[in-house]
Amino acid sequence: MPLGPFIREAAGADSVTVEDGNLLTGGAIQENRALTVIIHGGAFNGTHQMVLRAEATAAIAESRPLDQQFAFLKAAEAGGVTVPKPYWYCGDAGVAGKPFYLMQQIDGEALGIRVTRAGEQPDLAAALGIELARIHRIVPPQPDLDFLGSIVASPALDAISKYRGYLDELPEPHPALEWTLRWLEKHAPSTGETVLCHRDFRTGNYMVNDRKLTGVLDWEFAGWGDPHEDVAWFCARCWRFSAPELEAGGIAARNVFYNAYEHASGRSLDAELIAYWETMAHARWAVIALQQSMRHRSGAETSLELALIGRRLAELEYECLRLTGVMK
Amino acid sequence: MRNRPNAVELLDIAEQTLTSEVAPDMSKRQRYNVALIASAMGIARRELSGGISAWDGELDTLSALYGADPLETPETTLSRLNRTLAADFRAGVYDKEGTEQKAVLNLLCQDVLARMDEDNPRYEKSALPNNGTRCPGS
Repeated sequence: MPLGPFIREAAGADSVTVEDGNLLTGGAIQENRALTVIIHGGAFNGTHQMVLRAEATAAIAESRPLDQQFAFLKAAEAGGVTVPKPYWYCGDAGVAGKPFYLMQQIDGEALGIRVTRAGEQPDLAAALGIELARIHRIVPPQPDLDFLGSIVASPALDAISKYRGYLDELPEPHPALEWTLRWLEKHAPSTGETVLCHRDFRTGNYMVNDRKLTGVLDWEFAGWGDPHEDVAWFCARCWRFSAPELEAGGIAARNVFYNAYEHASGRSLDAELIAYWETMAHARWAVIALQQSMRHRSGAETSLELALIGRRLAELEYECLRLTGVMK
Repeated sequence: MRNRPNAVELLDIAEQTLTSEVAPDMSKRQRYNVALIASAMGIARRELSGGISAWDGELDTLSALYGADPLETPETTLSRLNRTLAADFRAGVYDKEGTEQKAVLNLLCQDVLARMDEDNPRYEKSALPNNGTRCPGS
């Protein structure tokens, strides 16, 4: 069944025309295609700008399958989070060549380098603090997210053992990352609150139009976790792009983001926990960067961009050594 | 003996031509690709200027810690001893503060800084706080 009839059936429409648009950039892991969908009849009558999101050729282990990403988008939408409206998921590879889902196409700029070049944006940082608080209001149990399974004993220790597993699959040893993971193991905090963590909530993964937030994107890493993990990920040095001095995502001072988050969530952030999870953030991104470069090295998906991600390792390890007190 | 210009010199001039003469005439999307290509050439050029390690002291430090096998090539020794070091960190061998820990942490620190000089030499200048970064000393 081609795409048109699939949408017609899903939308309960009389007829559907699909005009193919461009392959959208941004998204090293996923493939995004812009479509214009003209629907006649039914609840979705009208012209819609949609994005078809499908899995790229070689996904990495951290990435969740599309049906789960779609479930996160639905849960986020229900929780009042600003996201592109999710339409339908299709697991039948016969329709578009591989499983996909359709969501609303939102306007704006997501590229981190461009967002941070626009200068200090405290209002945007505050809006993002409020969005994160909304995401963290989603707590277990959630029947629609039951694929997440039970809550782990310790999100930190669970992450460490997962990242060690990933390192073991790589051809070369990485002593600086092993040191960092050991440090994280010894300093692991006792388990606190458990909330839905986005796990990739950072500049580059939200859309901005006219300095205003239009959508939180890229839900493929979400899962139960400690709220400080998302806060730290957002502030980590590796996601400040061209404005490292603006510690909240390269767009504002930390306190602007923290205050908005605390006010909206009613939760007090713990500076020590943020520092801990910021160390984890660099270790995690380093492991993911190594996996990304392996997609190129293994021949699964040759790409200069993926190849160069492998050479980002040193700067991530530098942050790890700084945060674990090795560098003064 | 090879002819000049050598590999490093060729990469250097190729990179300069690419960024200052080719890139300005290209579309936005192609300029992005040109920036990636120039970046890859720069890394290759800096790597070629060095030895088998980014930090010259890597092999000696590891050999002093674990002992070297004279029948091995330096490359094999480096790879083997780094694997031992990584496993030892994971096993908690270097948990305790002291001269051994200081020596391995100094190795990590020197090695990371040297690799940053090859891979992204501008990074440390923009990293915060960066003034007077110091390794623990050997």
